[in-house]
Amino acid sequence: MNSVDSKPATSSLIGSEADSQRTLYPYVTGTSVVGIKYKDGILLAADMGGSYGSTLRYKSVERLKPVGKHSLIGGSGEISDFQEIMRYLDDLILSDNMWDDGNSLGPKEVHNYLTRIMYNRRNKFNPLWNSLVLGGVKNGQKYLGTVNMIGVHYEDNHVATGFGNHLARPLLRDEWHENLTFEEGVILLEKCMRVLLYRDRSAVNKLQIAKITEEGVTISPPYALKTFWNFSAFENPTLGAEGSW
Amino acid sequence: MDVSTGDFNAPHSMGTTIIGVTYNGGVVLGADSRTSTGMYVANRASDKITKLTDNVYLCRSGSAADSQIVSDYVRYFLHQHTIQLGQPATVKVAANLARLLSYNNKNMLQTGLIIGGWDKYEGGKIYGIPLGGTLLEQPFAIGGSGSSYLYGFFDQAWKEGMTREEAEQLVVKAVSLAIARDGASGGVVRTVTINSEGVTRNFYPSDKLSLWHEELEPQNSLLDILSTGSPEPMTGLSPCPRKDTCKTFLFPVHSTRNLCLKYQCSYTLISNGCYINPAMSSQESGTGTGRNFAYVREGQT
Repeated sequence: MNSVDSKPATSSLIGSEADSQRTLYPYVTGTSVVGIKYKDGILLAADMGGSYGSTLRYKSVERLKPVGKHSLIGGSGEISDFQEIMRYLDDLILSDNMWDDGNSLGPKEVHNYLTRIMYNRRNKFNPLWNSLVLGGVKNGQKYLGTVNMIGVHYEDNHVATGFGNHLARPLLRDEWHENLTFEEGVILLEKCMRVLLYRDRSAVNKLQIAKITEEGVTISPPYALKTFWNFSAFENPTLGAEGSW
Repeated sequence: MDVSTGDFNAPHSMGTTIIGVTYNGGVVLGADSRTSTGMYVANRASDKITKLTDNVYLCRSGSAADSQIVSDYVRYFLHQHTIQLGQPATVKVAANLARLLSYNNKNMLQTGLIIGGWDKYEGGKIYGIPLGGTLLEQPFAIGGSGSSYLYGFFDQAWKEGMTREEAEQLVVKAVSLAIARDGASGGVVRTVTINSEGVTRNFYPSDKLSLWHEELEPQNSLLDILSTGSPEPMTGLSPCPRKDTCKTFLFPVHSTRNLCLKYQCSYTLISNGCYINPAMSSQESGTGTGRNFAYVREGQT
């Protein structure tokens, strides 16, 4: 006979009260990231907005970050989760460097690592609420992939997250080709970002473009795009149709 | 593939910022031009300021469909009323008609209205009709989702007896500020000024508006910025010796200390060059601050 009281069994299929915080819905979010392969490497573009619901609360959020020597990551979705992902990646790169063996993780490997993190979190019903773009060059090989909060991942010549899939990808399918120059790539990305600025409610007119080549990473200073409103149809749209749009 | 982007079956909603302001001699009505379906901008150049009669206009917010049908009914009734009365309808009558529709159909409608106009009896008047059908005569009225960001602004900036120019500038500034912070508002600023002389429509695209906090001057392209070259470095700093060979550098958002990733030294980075921050030069060889790590050291490949 056991005279000591035993603790009641606390079985919970979903999780116990000792859970770490789980993201049920996002709070501060970043919108689309667009990425393309070009002649010398990869180009990524993202705006610098951090929306808080429908409020455009933060306008200087850097969503494009270098990872190690060979990769560039762009994050959309919950910003706090993206920051957490950056901590995981820092640990990964640190461990990789501590081997001090002359080898360093390439973009394909980093993408795979991210995919495992995202998918395993999804399986525990505690996702990292992000869609990520991972691009890079190693030993002349260009790589561009994406992974999202449910673990869906793939690679392609051009990728995007969020609204970028609906608005930017069609433009890229039409105008992307192998061996784009840097200038052509930037102009193409700016075309995509401008459409997103017109048509995505959570877009903000302040963006960065990042490039990665064999030589290294460059992230541009923040800048704004010109927008076009001087169409005659815009000046008096309801003339003759009062009460409409 | 992403969750929750454009819900194309979501109701068309004018997130909106709408404003109506009285001044010495008339009224100025203002609005943004964005109509959205979920997170997608269905129309970036909408006209939310609708004519009811020659001297009375209506700003619409909330459900696009509901506000359109209400304004159509009010215009129809006002037209008949004008014929029967034999002279232009007053602003008060127009506002009351709109109120009756909003109040008696309150369970079905989701639209906030601002009525503004000029008549010979009362001069310039503004009436606000929020959800539920309350009628409030006000010296100025704000509505729509973007108005949340303007309560403080108007508390400070509003004054009685402004001139026409002051009133119009106030409205344009206010809508522009709301557009800067409300995702559901955007596009151009439209204004309609009504007084004894008649009605004037105005159109302000974003290049005519001021830049607010953290907003930057629009450029044609990044390529233009890159080709104009770098500005002079900050005084008191000397360039990093590896500046011309190192191609890995970051542009800081604010020109504070950023880490040169390739060489892991605490150089202050400005524009497209690296400059030594003298205070940090003792930390040259190894780890930097923050989330950085030594992976390439001096002398190694």
